[in-house]
Amino acid sequence: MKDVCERAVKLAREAGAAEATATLTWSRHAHLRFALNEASTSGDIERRALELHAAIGQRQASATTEDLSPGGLADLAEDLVDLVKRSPEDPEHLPGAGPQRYARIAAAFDAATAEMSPQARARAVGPVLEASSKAGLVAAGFHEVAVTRTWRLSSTGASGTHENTRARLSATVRRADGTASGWAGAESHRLGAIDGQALARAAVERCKSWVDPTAVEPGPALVLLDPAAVAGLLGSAAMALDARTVDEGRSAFARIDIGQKAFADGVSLISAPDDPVAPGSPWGEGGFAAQRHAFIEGGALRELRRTRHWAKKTGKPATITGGTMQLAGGTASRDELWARAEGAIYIPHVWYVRMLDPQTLSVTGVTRDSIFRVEKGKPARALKTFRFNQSITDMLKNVVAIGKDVELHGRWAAPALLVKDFHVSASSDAV
Amino acid sequence: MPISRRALLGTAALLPAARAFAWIPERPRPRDVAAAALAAAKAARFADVRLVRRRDEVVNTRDDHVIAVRRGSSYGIGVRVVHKGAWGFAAVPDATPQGARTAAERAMAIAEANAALRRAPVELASEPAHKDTWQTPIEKDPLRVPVAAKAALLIEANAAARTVPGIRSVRGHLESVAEEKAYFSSEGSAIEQMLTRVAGSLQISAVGEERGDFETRHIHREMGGGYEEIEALRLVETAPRLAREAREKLKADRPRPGKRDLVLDPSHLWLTIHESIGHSTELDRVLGFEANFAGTSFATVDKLGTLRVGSPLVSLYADRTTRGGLATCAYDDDGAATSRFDLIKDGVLVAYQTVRDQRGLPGFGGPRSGGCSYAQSWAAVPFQRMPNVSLAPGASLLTLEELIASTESGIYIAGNGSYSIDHQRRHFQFGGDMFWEIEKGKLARPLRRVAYAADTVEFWSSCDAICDAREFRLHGSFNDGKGEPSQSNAVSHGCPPARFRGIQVLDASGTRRRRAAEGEGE
Repeated sequence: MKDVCERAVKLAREAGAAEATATLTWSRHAHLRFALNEASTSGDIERRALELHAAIGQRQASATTEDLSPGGLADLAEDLVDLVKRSPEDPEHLPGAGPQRYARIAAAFDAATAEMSPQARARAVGPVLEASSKAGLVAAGFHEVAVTRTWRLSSTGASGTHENTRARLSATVRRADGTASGWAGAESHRLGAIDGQALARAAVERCKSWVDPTAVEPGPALVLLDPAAVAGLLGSAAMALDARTVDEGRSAFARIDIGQKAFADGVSLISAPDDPVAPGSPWGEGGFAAQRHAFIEGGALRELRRTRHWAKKTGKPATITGGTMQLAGGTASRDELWARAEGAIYIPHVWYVRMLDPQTLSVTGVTRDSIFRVEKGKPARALKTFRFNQSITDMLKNVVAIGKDVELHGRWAAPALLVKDFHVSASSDAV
Repeated sequence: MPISRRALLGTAALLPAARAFAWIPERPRPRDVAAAALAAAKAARFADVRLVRRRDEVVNTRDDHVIAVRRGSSYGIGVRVVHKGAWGFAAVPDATPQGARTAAERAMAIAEANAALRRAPVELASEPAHKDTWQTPIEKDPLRVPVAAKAALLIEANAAARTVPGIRSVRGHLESVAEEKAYFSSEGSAIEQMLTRVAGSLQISAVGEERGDFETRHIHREMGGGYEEIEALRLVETAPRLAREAREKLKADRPRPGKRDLVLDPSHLWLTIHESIGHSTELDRVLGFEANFAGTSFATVDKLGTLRVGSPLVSLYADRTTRGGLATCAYDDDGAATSRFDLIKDGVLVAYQTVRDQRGLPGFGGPRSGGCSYAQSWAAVPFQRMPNVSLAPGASLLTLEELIASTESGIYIAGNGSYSIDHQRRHFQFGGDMFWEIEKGKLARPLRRVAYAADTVEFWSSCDAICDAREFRLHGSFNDGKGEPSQSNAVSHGCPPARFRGIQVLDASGTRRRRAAEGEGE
């Protein structure tokens, strides 16, 4: 595929581009959904896409195609360069990277995951359906494996490849009459790291235990957030760390100085391309090699995300990341965390989290499926779903304990957190 | 109403360069590619094939310059089968007879592997074989409007906003999409459609004197149609007013929490309709097919025909035939003809949105599907997606001005802000983009940080006035997410302004900020 990139870059240069970069992505995603204890839809999707970016002076544009034939590449290059010439100048455009040494991100790829067959997918889902049926419950869920290979080549000399696998399994198990629901989910770059049977047991147990739920009173509460809930809450934090919005006064972090201890002691927010749990891309903006960046370390704000343009304008270093983030794990084992969580509300995951007030990085959302009051180190009394209105910066300040193990959920790796003064706003009858 | 080929050719004359169906490549012919797939899947009880070419273009600006110009083209084939009682789907980017055979063989293998995980075979509602063409009516092909003209429009609008003091940042966005689809099925359907949609938006931010104090005002329009819909936005003329409103919000009061009467503008109410009624009346959610991700619904099938969702004034209908609707088309991705039908009639739940593989399931109604299937691309499995769902105008003559004049005390909300709803669509909390206090029938002063929370049924039951058809407007979104893997559906919702009595209003400022403002310190 490298030859396709070479041809595309050459054609763009011949058409008049001063600079050209080709990024070719091939992927294959296979999935199996299930509902009402049986398979529903299922697919095997092979894609390829060539993105060609070109610049002439300060004018730039990009275009994508799936047509990799010689004619298709020629059309793409000609159309793109024509588009560049007709585009206005972008004063923020900067030349792409010269020759780079990209790291090989070994943790991102697993050959066994890349080769999974339809039969193996059906076998992976079987135990979930069986556990649910045996318990007299109704399961819905999703199993997916994906492999992606990317080739990147630039006329400025940077070239590299990256391969990535991903697997996920999640299940929601409900009573047939809709009076209880339990969820469990896992995600990894290695399918072998996902224990489908344990996941099914957890979802079934949570559903069965969710009996006679009571409403949570509005106000501050101690909560024990599973990693999936933490990842769901943190989604908006990365945007707020953008240096430009901070410098322009349009971010909650505009109120915090670099070096200021604004969060709990153990809170560290890191992006590292070779993160073993959330491995990222070996390259970032402009094709520069991705680096490790600690945005928050030991509870203090250390660094902001800064584009190359904003770095040049402000005379500060750019942050080139591989696109993933980790809230670092702490020291508490699972048992220690649960022992400290007496009286807390245990929240496995959250739903529909949306920005409420960007000035305080406050989000609103709801808990989902079964939540419980923690008693004697265990989920004990069932509680009703509730809506929360919570500042994420406050949440990171109010962390009481941090779990040792981190889990991957989307682009985030996160540990379990015990958090005080989490703001419950209203109860809901949703199950 | 589908547009015939003859009418289509008439429409073509309106288009620059007479370009109606650029159509997916003529060689190999789509029908030959589809025939290869259908032949390879001949052992299947049902098979369908979609060849889809999607073209899109995005222009983004910030303040006085362009920051991104992107153009995309994607073409491939998706083959779906019902075999041994199970679904199978496969897609490849190679839209040739060989690629079609590969996709069909993979789809058959998946169905075969999953057959053991079915308790009952997949059954499809009957649908006649259709041979037809249709396209979104447009006046100006948005993909033929030069990028430079689009950039110039946004930059001029940005500049118009920045003439207002205190405006720190203006971002502009224009997006054009054309989806060209050829659908063929083992039942004999052969349907060609071209769906065109456009989006335009401005985001204007004003920064206050206090560090970290800022407010933003938005305008956006997303429609099924051509570039004429962008021109109708009148971005340059509108930008200064929005900029002034963004600045006014900086000094505006926060709301007094408590039960308030709300007058909701169509630019706001469309999203409330989408979240509370649109999603709760999708039959796949109601039955549990989306329980693991999008969720289920309070509107269960045992309540069909009896559940009072709203006041007798409230009627909501599904409609994939309305002009300008983002979900408008003549045939869905199951090959079923689209139509208009009631969901909530005089306040009562009367039907669900449906697709063909729900035949025989509770709540389906039938015998035909409601035509609500959609796949976001050739590489996506078709499944139930929302049609345009709209609130019927009030029967009595009533303008927005008259509605506000008849409101003693309340809040008028326009545009969209934060929105969040639980997984059964029972309890929600929505913000907005601009808010005005209504006092004695007049817009007294702007407010900021307003949100309201309600139970869906309580909310719609509190509706006591709906403006007439003169005030009816369509709004929508390109990006309604649902399903696993997640897919985007473009959908519109039409409504006139309406009033809702006694809704719980919140101060949406963060807790810390609220306490500080109330003198409790941080």
